[in-house]
Amino acid sequence: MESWFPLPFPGVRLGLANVFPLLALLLFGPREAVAVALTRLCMAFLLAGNPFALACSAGGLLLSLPLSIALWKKHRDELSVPAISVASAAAFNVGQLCAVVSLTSEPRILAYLPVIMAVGGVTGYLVGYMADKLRLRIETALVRRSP
Amino acid sequence: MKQKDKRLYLILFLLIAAAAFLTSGRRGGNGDLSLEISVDGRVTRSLALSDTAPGTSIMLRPGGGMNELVISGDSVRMVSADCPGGDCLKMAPLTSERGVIVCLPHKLVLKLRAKDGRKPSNPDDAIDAVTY
Amino acid sequence: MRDIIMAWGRMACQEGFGMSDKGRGGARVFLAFFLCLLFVCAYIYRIREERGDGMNVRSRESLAMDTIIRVSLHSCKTPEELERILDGTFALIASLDSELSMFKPSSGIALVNASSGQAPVKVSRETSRAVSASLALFRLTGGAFDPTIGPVTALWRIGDAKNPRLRLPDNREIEEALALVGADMATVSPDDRVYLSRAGMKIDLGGIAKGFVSAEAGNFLAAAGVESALIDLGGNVLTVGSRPNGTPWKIGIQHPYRQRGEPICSIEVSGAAVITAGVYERYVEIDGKRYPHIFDPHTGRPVEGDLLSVTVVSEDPTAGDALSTAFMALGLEKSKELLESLPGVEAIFVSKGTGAEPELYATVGIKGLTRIAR
Repeated sequence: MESWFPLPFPGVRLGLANVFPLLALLLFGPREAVAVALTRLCMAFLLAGNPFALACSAGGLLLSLPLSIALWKKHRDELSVPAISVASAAAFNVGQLCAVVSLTSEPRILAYLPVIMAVGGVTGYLVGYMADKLRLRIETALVRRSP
Repeated sequence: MKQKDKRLYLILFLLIAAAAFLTSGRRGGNGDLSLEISVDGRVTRSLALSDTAPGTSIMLRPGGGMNELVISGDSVRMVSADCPGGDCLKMAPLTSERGVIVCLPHKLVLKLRAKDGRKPSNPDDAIDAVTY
Repeated sequence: MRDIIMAWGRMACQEGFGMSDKGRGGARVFLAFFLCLLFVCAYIYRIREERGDGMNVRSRESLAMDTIIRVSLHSCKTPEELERILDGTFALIASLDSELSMFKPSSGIALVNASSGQAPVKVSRETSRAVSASLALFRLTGGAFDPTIGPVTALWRIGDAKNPRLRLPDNREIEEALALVGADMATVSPDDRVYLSRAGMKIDLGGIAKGFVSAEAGNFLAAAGVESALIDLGGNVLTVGSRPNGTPWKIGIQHPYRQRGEPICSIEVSGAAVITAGVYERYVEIDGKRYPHIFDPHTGRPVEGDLLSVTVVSEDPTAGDALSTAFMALGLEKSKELLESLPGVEAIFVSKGTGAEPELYATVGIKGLTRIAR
């Protein structure tokens, strides 16, 4: 187990920045969330210039965006924001690993799935918690400013 | 916490457990491990760790890039590479049949394979041919 | 602004209620989604392990090209189909051999040699390709491999049991033979005419023929749809795919001091040729000293030095065969330089060394020579 821990898998990041698409989803809606996610993807690529990290993130988003949007649209009342975020983080990690597998055609990489999903679950919760708090702040700020 | 949260977390936990179970299916014997190097999904090199002097450094040039790995006893790690990001350098050293070192930009995969003879009909350490 | 948010909230609530009326929980969508993913992953993960079931194996050995030829096929095809493919492979090998051997008077190569300095000779498509490949490898190796070495091999008469050489050729004889060596004096025209511009020149494809033939046989097997095969042309090994269970083939490298079949070490390859040139394989003994059948085209003499054998691992057996010969002529240091410019080619050098056991040097992943500890 411990040998797994220097975790940073190629391109598989903890995904704390996913707080922005999630926030956009909560505040504005699916279309905006997709826009924010794509913008972030492009920005990250332009700044870091690593097409492989891009492919990984794209693979992750391909799964996580539809899932989080579906959960948000249909089950917003039964699921808290951290829960949606945890689900979407898990999907993000699976997508990333699938992208790596398809790039390397090495199925053994899937052995990392449980660990990455577990770590992803924790960060997903943090991201969801952060997004929830931020949304509350922003919404109260907006409400206070309106007459 | 809303009403369905617990259920979602439980399902996620079960999924992780299931994934762990499914992927842990193959555990090689403790026989000789050999390092398998593949580029773009094709095995380009395979060498037994026991045949390699400790501290052996190997330079690879997958697709024009450069990766250097060091074999020390029973572990393999990447020590230098010219790939963007350098993620492969941060990956955990290989010590067992589990896990891989991947350098995505160079489509390079390193993994260890045990010669455990899982298929007794074709023992892995039998030599198929001798070149002379 | 507040109204907008309120309206948005109301809408969302309605939508949410609408869903829960149907009794579908968010957790259930999530579950379905992940179960599908998990099954796909598990499937990908297992699929490679389960290869090799329902496989048929057919193997055949035969004498041709002055050596033992062994072809083993592993495939899902029926045994009858595999037999037919083996028939085709051995027929192909026999026909190529009869075209490429300089010792068979009717072969394309023998006809070219007989007309050297006179006229271009039309040869078969395959012969023309073999000669073109050998000329390309001559240029690639800077002349360390030379297909026009024929006059030198003829001079030393190694392997000619009926007419053995009893004394060393003198310098004058070697000079004369060397004057006729030079692949830059050979041309292949696009319509498959081969011409040697100086009378007495001789093409000897001995350093490339087995590699070329195994390449052709490998292509034949691939075209026939065989996924996994081993072609062994007298120690020139070509692997097609990997073993039927997905693991790489394990190929031993002959121990230079021991009986044939006893390896000094082994390597694992998939879809690659493993070809060795060794001083111990064919030689002539004159005055108690052994002269190997591998010549340095620059000196016209059998190779000397510490190298006992060179094994080349490459995708292209034709190149592997020629390069193993060239590396023997070049020696360890110069081979190392040449290897740097050859991506995808790896080599294992067995050298006399200082102790009782030979020393091994290997390039692993092209760059750098790594000493293999024994």
